[in-house]
Amino acid sequence: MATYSLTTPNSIRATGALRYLIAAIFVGFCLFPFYVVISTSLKIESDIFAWPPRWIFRPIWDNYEAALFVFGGSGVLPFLINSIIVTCVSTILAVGLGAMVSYGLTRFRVFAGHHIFFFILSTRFAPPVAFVVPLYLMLRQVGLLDTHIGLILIYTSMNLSLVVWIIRGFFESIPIEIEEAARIDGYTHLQVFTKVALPLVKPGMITTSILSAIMAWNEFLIATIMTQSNASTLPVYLGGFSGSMGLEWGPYMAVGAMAVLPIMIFTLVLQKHLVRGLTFGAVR
Amino acid sequence: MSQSREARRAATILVSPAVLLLLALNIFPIIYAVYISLHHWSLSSPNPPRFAGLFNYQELWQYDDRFMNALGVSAVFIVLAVGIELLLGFALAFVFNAKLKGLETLRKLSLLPVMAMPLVVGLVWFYMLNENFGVTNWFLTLFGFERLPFLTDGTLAMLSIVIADIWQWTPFVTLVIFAALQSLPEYVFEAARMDGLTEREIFWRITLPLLRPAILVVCVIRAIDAFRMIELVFVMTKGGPGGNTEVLPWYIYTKGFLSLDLGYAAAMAVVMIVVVTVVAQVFVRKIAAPE
Amino acid sequence: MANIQISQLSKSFGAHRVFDALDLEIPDRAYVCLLGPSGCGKSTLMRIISGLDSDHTGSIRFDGHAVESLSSADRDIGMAFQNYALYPHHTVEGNLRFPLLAPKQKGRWSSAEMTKRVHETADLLRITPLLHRTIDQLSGGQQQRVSLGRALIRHPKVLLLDEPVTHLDARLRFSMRSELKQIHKTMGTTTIHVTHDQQEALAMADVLVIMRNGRIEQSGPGMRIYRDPDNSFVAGFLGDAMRTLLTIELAGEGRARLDTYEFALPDDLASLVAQAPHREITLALPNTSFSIDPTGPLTGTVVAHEMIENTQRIVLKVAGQRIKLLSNRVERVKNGDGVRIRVGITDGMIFDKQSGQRLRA
Repeated sequence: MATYSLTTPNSIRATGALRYLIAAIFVGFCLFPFYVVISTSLKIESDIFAWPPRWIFRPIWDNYEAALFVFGGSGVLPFLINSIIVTCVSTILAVGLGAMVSYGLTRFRVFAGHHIFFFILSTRFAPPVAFVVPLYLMLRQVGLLDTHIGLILIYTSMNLSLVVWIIRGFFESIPIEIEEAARIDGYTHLQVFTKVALPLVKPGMITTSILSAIMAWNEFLIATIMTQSNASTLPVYLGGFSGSMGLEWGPYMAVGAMAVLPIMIFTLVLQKHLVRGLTFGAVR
Repeated sequence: MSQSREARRAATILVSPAVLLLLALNIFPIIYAVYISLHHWSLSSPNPPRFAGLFNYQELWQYDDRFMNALGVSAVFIVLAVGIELLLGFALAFVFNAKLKGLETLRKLSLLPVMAMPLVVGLVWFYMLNENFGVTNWFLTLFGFERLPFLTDGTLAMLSIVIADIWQWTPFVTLVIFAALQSLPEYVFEAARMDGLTEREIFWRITLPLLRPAILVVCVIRAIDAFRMIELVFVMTKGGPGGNTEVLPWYIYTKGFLSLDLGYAAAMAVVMIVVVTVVAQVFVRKIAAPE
Repeated sequence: MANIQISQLSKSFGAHRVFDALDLEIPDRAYVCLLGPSGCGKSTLMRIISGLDSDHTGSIRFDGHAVESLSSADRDIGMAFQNYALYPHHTVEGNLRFPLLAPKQKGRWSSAEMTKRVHETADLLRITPLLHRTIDQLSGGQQQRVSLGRALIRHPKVLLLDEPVTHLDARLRFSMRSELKQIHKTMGTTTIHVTHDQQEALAMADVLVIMRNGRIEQSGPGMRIYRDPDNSFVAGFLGDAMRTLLTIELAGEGRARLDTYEFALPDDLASLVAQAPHREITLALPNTSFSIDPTGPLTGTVVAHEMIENTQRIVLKVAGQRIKLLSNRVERVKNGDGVRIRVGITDGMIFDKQSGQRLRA
């Protein structure tokens, strides 16, 4: 249906050019802020505040050095490490628990299974700001404020809905006979899950892992409330910026670049599964 | 059909960890939030929380102009941001919907903002919208306009966070509608053309109705996500100037964690949860996974 | 190797009763075919024997040991599926080895014994050259062999085959049948083979079990059932290509009526009709009993006709009933032609129309 509005060769060429023009402007708009982040992170202070903006400048790495080791006392390095720990562990947990529960709900009859499934999906929309008040008091009660475990548990529960939705589709596409064959071959239900079902949904596991990792990596509000210093993540570091009313643009943009660039690569790789993952598969 | 004991055991082992986690970190917090909201519960006061009945809710509905303002600001933000994203995304989906060399690559590149850390998005737009050295104003002066105080003027501040949100999410809306457009079966259009419909009629009577589910889905998802948005406000405007960008999440945040009035913040949280839950339940059961 | 005893088996899907107190005994080392039209319960019965379907009442015994409370994993069975159900993430060798590696089997075989088993089984099924292929590199026939190998590798007590050759093309299906029989002869495993194909069942079964609506209509050696069916369903279903069933009305004194044609029943049948509970009976005749003859007493219309090798097969409609006529002569007919038909009643069987029961001497 791609060309249904195009009837003559001439109009194909004309609208084709128009398409390219609009698409290029849009892509320019989309990419420009990334350019600003990177270029600003490579500028010296006088170039950063220059009017008119300096398009041509001598790039320096000082901002990265300052950001990593000096800035805000300890530099961003501890925050970076916290981010990596929290992201990795919560992703592994979310994908593990999510795969378990979606397999359990697809292959067995579970009491109120349908409702459990819908409940898990609907947590995708839970507004973090509304949960932060009770969660803060709960974590304080059990002594998990400002700990990795506290953040990891919350992020795991946050990402379950995403994992369950995507992986469920993959499980449903496994012919049931393959799992029955394994049952006959002497495997218990749990062994069928680990030895047959899980290996077969590996692509789905990879997709969901990347998506939940990005979600955990990017999360700001919960991290900034639940941590003071020990377990603070990258976004918390960046959130501190506004407090100092902006004279340190260079190092902050350097941190911003570090926070955003790895994700850009994953986004390009993920493409195909992005829509499904972000829309509950309502759009394929 | 009943299941064997082994099957029941396996199902329990598979399902219960996630269910327990969600009970602890989703269900219980909701109940706890209701409990907190029924108390005078301040983190700054040395006194223990005191039962207050519906006091916080009454305050909210009858006396709190800031709360009403926050609801209004949130509504304006959602309508502006999601509305513009839908219009742009819809048009761009059609732009990308052609088998032309290189268009695919452009489309993929345009998706990069979607997954960017919201805080960095706020930060870079904060920088670009700066009145004195921001590149946005440089573009304006390039076309002969005056520089604008984007972040310090009330109306322009709202526009600023809308722009940042549009930048991040228009590609997503485009992608969803584009994917829906691609999945439309070719034969429907061939049949329509055979029946002598004009291109305009095909658009209004076939394309648009077929795209409706996708538009609905993306509209609901975007609306709820826009309702939850706090990062852009946090970085760019802090709710200001004069409460002009004080969306509900920001107001809850300031009440709970700057004024430390947890009871009051919890009451607003409960209101927000109720609204979102109603919309989300309808969405999940009726739209995303209909029987 | 085991005999299988099923007794008082009952099962329902919601309000629908699939089995009601079904009994079946399968002798050790037998090759049993469960045959019936789709929905007759043959696959469900196999799933119950396999333990994949555990919700039923009644008992199932392998060699006298009750297995109904055992999971599939503990029943020591092998099963080949209609769609082969091979593990796509393993090679052929990995698929064969998979049942040996089940945690339940730990310590039963040393790794050298496992390798030996894999090669023996691969040799038996002639898939040794394929051992290192992945599943998506195999043809349907090859996949079928691998799935059989996987089912056999543990030398299970019972082998279950669910429509194992249905997806193969006709030529391969034919050669695979005799190979299956050969393997059964070599291994001696009690085998249950579910199929809806009469030819296949007749060709392969030591014991043929014919099912309909969750009941066993008749069981025993295939050719005996074919020649001597207990009821009109079995007579029609098993002899579909060779037999015609007609409803006729008894006219008293050993005479019967088909449409307007009244005729005397031969003595062997005439003596049986005395015990017929109703006036309407079903008469089964070999298709060769009919011939086209301008002086014949019956009038029919040609519905379909085809040549199968040297034989002409003509389907006729006579007074609302179908007659399948087999003729060695080539008749020049076309669809819609009206023809006259002669009937020679020999080797007939009669059944009560209402119950379907065979009337026997």
